[in-house]
Amino acid sequence: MINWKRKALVSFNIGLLALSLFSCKEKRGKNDVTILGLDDGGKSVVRYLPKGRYVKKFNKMLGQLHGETTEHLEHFVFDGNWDLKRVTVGLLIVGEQRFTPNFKLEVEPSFELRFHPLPKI
Amino acid sequence: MKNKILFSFLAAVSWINLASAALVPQEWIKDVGPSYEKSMNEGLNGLEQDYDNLLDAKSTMLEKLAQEKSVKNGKRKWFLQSVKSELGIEPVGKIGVIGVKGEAAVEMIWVRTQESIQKLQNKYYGPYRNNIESEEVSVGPKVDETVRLTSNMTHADFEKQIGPIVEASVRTGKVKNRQAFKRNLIQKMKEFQNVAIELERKPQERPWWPYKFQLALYAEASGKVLPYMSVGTGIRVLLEWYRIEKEVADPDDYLVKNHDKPLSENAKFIYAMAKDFETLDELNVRSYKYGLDYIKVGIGLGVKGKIFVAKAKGGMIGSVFFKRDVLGSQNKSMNIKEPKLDDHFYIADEDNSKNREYAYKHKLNVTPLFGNEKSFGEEQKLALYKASREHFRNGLHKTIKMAKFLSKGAVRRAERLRRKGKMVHFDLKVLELELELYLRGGVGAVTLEGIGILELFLVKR
Repeated sequence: MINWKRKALVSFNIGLLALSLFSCKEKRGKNDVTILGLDDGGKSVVRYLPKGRYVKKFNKMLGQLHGETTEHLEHFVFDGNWDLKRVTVGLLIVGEQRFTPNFKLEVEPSFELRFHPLPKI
Repeated sequence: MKNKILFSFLAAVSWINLASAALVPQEWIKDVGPSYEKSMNEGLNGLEQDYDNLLDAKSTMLEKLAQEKSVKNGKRKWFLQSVKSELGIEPVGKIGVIGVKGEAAVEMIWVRTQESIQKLQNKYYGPYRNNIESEEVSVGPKVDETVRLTSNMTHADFEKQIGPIVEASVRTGKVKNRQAFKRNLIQKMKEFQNVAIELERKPQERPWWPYKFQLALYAEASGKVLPYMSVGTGIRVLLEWYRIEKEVADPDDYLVKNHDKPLSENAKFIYAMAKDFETLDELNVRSYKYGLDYIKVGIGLGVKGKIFVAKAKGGMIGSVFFKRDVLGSQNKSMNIKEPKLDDHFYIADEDNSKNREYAYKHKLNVTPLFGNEKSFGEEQKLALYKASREHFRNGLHKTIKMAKFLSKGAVRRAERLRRKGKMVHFDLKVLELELELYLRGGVGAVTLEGIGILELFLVKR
């Protein structure tokens, strides 16, 4: 005879296990960064990244952009009749979603960086 | 049994999914009536955590970036002055970093602090001695050329202003017909100037006043000049009219000079907007760390020069920026007799079945834009929807809570950094709240799939 009480308990425990596993996820979720976007059909897409990963990944990208832009600007010679006062560089987030076992989400930060000449003293 | 376990598992997962995603109150992003007040503050704790988390992530990243040594040797001519980033709200109400596409609900401008600039100067030019004049962070649109106009410029002034633009455009090969480009651009400038003159006629006694008017244009190779709507290979030109300060300090003086002149339709439109923006005065009390300094309104312009709020993406071709006098300043005359204002204003949007149904439901008057009135979006079917100013004011009132929520988060973040005692390189200087305008006049935070018509600029004091 099936012991429904026991099975319900097992079921409940598995549910709790799932809950606890995802509670970790939920707990981490508090520090996750939500990434939003629209797919090709115009429907919204929501993805999450742990904050540490977000900071590390995007900081690297921004750092590269910052470094390369500054380097170029330092050696850039502009038309002598004009004064180049401000340079704005934009970055878009480009998402890639693959619903495979190795779920992949590639993103770039949507930032706009503005460079100014450093005033001399 | 297996099903039962699965059910239990799924139930747990779905419960967690719901619990883990804080949502903005639906009233923020829905076209609701005046009964929103009760629920506006519900569920803000979870949202507060999500918002703090997003601010922390961005700020941590920028602080790390500021400490990177990109140029190690020699003098340095350039530095990263500011970074603009965005947050979005998806239709269900989740808030997050904007991804692939979509309209931003909040734009944040992080500006390099004076302390950080001084540190850079000190490093590259020796000990710091003088104060540095820092330019106000502007959010100018991405255009190739900007032409600044005043209401008293003559044809000769126009020619002088656009000379270098015409030459540069021809040199790039993007414009082939120099004469046609010059002629058409001057024509557009004259039309623009006429509207700007109307803006100047706005009575001066209200605290909000239009200080900037922009119109984006697009020039084809043939020299044809069109309202700017999409990215192409031509030249983008931005016409800009600025008023540095109110020209008439004493409103009674204005009345003496102008009492015989009835207000034009455009002047009335501006006057009514300015008056309705007083609903937001609560955001300007001195104790607030972020005050509402500017408001931007997306507008459409008919060929006859009539201004209306433009909601259709292809229809929004310009912007009027409003600025507010310091709260408490003497800017209202006791003797003023207000002009008779309409209780409605017009919004241009697509003339489709969805909008028609909405208009029918809310008993809105709809006027299709035909023929020569339709100077923009030639392929689009547009109509003017008669919106209620009362709904507009109610909607603005609702945004006060949103603005407070956003600025409080920024203040909390600054406090956390201050407590840590570390040097801060990037300060969250400006919060731009992007707002949707519903056809009957209501206002809400824009979602990814929407379009921002109004922008509130909350600037750190």
